[in-house]
Amino acid sequence: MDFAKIIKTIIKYIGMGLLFLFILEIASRTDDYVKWDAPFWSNYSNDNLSVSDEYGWHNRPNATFQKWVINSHGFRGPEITFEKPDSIIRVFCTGASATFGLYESKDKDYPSQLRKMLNKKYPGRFEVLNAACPGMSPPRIGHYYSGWLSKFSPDIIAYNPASDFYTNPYPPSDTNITRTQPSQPPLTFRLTSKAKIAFKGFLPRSWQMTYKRWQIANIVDSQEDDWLWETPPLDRMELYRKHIIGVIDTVRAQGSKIIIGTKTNSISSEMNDFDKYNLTNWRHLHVRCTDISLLQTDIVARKIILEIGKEYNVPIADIAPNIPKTHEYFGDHHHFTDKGAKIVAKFMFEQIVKIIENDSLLYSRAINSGEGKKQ
Amino acid sequence: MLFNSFAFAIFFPIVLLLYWILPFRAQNLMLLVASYVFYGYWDWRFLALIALSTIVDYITGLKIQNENDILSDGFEKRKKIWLTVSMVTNLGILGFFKYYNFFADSFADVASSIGVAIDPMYLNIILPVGISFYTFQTMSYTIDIYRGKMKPTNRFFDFALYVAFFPQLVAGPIERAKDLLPRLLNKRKFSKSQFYEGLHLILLGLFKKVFVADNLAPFIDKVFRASDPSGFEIWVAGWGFAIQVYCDFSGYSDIARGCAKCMGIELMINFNHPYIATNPVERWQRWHISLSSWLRDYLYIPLGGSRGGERKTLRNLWITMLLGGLWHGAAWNFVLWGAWEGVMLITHRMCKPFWDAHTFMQKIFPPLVRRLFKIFLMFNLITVGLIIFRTRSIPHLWQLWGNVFTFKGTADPLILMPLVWYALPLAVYEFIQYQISRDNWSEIEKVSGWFRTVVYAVFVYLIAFHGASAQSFIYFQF
Repeated sequence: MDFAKIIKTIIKYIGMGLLFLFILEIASRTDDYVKWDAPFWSNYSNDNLSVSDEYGWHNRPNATFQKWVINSHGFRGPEITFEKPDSIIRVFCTGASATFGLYESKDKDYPSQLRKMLNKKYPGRFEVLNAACPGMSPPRIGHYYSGWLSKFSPDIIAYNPASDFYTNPYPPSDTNITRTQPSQPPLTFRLTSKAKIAFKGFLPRSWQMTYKRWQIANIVDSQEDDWLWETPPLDRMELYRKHIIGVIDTVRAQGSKIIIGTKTNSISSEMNDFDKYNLTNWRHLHVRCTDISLLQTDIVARKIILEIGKEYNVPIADIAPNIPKTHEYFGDHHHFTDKGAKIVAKFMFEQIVKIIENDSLLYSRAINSGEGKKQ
Repeated sequence: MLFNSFAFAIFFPIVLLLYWILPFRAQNLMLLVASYVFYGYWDWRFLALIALSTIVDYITGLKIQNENDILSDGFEKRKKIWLTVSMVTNLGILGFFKYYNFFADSFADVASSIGVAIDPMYLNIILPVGISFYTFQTMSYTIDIYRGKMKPTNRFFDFALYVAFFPQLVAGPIERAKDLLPRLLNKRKFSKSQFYEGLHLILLGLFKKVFVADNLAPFIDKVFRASDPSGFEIWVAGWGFAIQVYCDFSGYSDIARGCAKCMGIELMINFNHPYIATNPVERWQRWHISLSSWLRDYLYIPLGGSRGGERKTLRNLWITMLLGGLWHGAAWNFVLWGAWEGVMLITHRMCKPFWDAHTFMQKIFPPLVRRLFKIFLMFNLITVGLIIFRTRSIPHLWQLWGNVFTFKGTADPLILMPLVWYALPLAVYEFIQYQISRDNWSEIEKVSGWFRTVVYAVFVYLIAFHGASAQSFIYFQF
């Protein structure tokens, strides 16, 4: 074979390789367009769902990404007006990713299911909005509430505070409530992120677990002996208590009522393969904890919430002991499936109904026979 | 090890690389080890069964040939004894692991129906994957030697490779020793064209399995698991299952053939567009060809084939299909399915002279319309059988038929959507490929590489991003 022919063959194969990748990228964009009505040419990623501004880190108004649709005020749910109609009871569900919804199908996140339950009991009386944002820690929620949510005059705040932030290397602070907005290059390949997800799905769980355990062990080995938390870090849990009380005070100061839900995880005592996989992934995000102390942290967090409930007379939706720890209810270590979200909605619903029935003003609005706004 | 698993994605390139850098003799030895690793990855304990079948058939093959060569007194009797040893071993393994509980259960049912209560002893055993395939394969080896159609090999490890060759070990094609053994015994040469054809087949097989079959599975399962599905739903699920089982099994065969081709080894075509068959005979000439030809050569013909008059021919056909059904699984619905297939073959054979003599249809309709009508009719008759195949139990089957034939429930055409979405791309692709090339690789190769790149990219996209997560192949249970 002569040299020119070799070069020609190489160029041909490189060209085919590029064409192959180009078709994959085009297929990827066409797929997004058909499935999610995504823009064909511009950037399309979950980074577009959130924004950091004077209200802190929250959902970007009018953003959409796959099943997640944010309304013009930055909430998941129907459009609402700033002014609350007289006949309406407005409920904001707030928290982090478990409330925002990751694995639930469209309109099956717990706030959506709660909206349906409430409007079934009190037809057309409730506006229930999902005001949660992934990664929203308690101090951020307090800040976001006082700066933005309170403008909508919510009657009730349903709050699921995550304790995971407190086992991170750096705990949430009262001051640092914004985040650096990730910069987006002018052209991103959609194929890359899809390929990563597909590869992860294809990789056997046992291999992923082995790799992550190895990474955890490496990090732990490189630290001082007392770096690892063998038991839940009590100073951090005290901070958790303080921050939740801060949110309660902020919400009450603006005249809204608050319900707090207890947080749980999917790890059952049987420790089946699903549990082991989830625990490894969870631990990978909280390397300072041991498996045991990580699980105990949730138990301590629930205890704190129950104590706060008693001390501050806050209604508690005690979800934790009432949700089965199986993959039917959890998509991972603590995010819910449709079924899991339904249970959360049910417990929140019960507490909201109690509040309504014990508050003559809200009750009269709920049962008012006038034409309510249908959602 | 599943073809559509991460483990295989690591395993196969390593095997392929080693294969082409090793010298010929070492290639076979390495392939044998790889085949045992491939099988042992699922459950290493059952490797002993493959080894037992291999040793017994290797020895009996040589012994039978020895009798053929010596031709001393009583050689026919001794040949029969050795053949019996092989048959008893293979059918014994198959019977014990696959059929014991079924027969024990059925016996207890029959006994209880005549008022005798029997508490049968059930065995708590799992069905070894691919047992029906490799036992049939090794049996054909000793039978062919017995019949003088081939000579045995004295190379034990090469024979062991023939039994355990990993691409076709667990779900076929059921290769005859006279075809595959020489390919394993002779030196292979790397051919770029054959290698590309192998990759083409692997991709097509994965597409059939991961995109079509596994994505259709949940829709079909939902209907067959429902407590009271509508007649229309059952029928559509029956169509869906026909497509699923074809894509699942022919996808496996394509991947098996593709892997073997990448190593310069040819395996037989197991599926040849079965759903364009216009009659039951053609259907079995196109569907699971390696099994249907095995049943023809080692069951139908020994039973007498078509030699003993029409009545015996029909009987032989029906028995063959009945046992063919039982081969698929130890349950009565498989026997019934085999019986249905047998009825179709018998009916076709009995009615053919009438149809051939009456040409009024030919006068009214053009050939294409008649052909399409026959294909549609045949597809639906196959679907009838596959609904029997897919049921959970006989009472469940009666319930399904009841709902189908009383048109129970509503008919929502939207339930056809998964079929259209998942099966149509494959149907279009297979149609175009057939029109261009008659499935002949030398013709496919002539199609522009740029155009093929585009098609392969679309296939890869659909497999990677719209494929269902790894599910085992339906035919593994057989």
